Amino acid sequence: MKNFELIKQGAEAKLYQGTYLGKPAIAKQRFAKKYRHPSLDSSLTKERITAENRALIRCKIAGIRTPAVYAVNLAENTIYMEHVLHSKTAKDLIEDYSRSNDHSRLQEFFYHIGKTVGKLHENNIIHGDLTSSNILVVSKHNPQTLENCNPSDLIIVPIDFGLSRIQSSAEDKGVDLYVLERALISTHSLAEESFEHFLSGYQAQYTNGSKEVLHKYDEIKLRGRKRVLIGI
Amino acid sequence: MDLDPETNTKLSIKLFTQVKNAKEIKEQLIQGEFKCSMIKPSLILDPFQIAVAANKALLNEKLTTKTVYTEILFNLSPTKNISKSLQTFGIDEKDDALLVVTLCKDTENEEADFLKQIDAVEAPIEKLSDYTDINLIKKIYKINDKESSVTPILDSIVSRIATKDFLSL
Repeated sequence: MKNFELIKQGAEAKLYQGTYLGKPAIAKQRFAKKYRHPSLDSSLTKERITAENRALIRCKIAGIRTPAVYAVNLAENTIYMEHVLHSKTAKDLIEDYSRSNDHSRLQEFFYHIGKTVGKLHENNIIHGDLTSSNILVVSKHNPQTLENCNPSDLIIVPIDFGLSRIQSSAEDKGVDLYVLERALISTHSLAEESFEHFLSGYQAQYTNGSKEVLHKYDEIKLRGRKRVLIGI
Repeated sequence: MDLDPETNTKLSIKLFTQVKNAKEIKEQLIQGEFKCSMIKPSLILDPFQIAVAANKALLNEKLTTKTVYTEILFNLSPTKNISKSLQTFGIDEKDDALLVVTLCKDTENEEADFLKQIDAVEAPIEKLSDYTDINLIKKIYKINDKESSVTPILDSIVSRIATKDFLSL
């Protein structure tokens, strides 16, 4: 990987920023975990690269914006993808709104995130690791800047699909929602009161089936994301 | 244009218009006399589309098709059917425009001699858009309006090419 600079190190992968085939790009390299047996490690890595690629394309087909993929190098366990320019994480945007005490924009933003997650689930895409850091936003009209952007002028770009899968079950969708809720509440002080707006966006988008998912979600909230395995 | 630095390879794409001898060219191409890919310009939106397909051909450890040049055509195509891919993206006897794609190592500087055998006019690559058939492209890559209203078409195309091995479409 020449001319790429490390920008982020996660638990699963390192992210590098650079230029690939002449375009601004991110290289996401999954590294080996020394504590795992090598053959398990390599099969998990391959599985995640496959899952990520599939979900990125499935999202596009469903009308959800995701980073374009430029190349996959299986020898290096690296995906080269579009560097989504002039973007911000949902995490930073929520913090901006919170800091300026802009409750109405915050609520509207939650509604729009809800619609995007609703669209994912409508298409049976389970993200598997929804957090406000794994959601990017870009502006619809003026791609240069996000200053003073209304939530309705934003395009929501989910990223990091390494743990995603295609699954139609309400249980998995419910867990996806629960994971996001926990992540939002633990990251953002104003998230708890706004989460209902997320759920109404979710329902507005996902008209056919969200009822069942939300029912499961209520169940999951009581028990946690692991299923109780005894005596059902 | 440079490909992945690991491949040490440069890509060259030339557009020929007013082609008069497509039939002979195709015959010679099939006999393996030309070291290049010849592609229908109507199915190419942007040179970057070819760059992604060629780059993938070079990065893959083993090729699905016989040569790196047929591999480029195969990679461009969303189907896994080799002969269908070559038929769709390769040139026809009656085509009057074509793209010639050659690869060369950074160290070499090989001027492709065979280009003289194409009875045609070389046009600047910017003219490619005059030949692009966007509706046909959307049909072949199965890009619906829902997708193209949010995602630029070039992004949709290159993503499909780059991830072809992982898709079970």
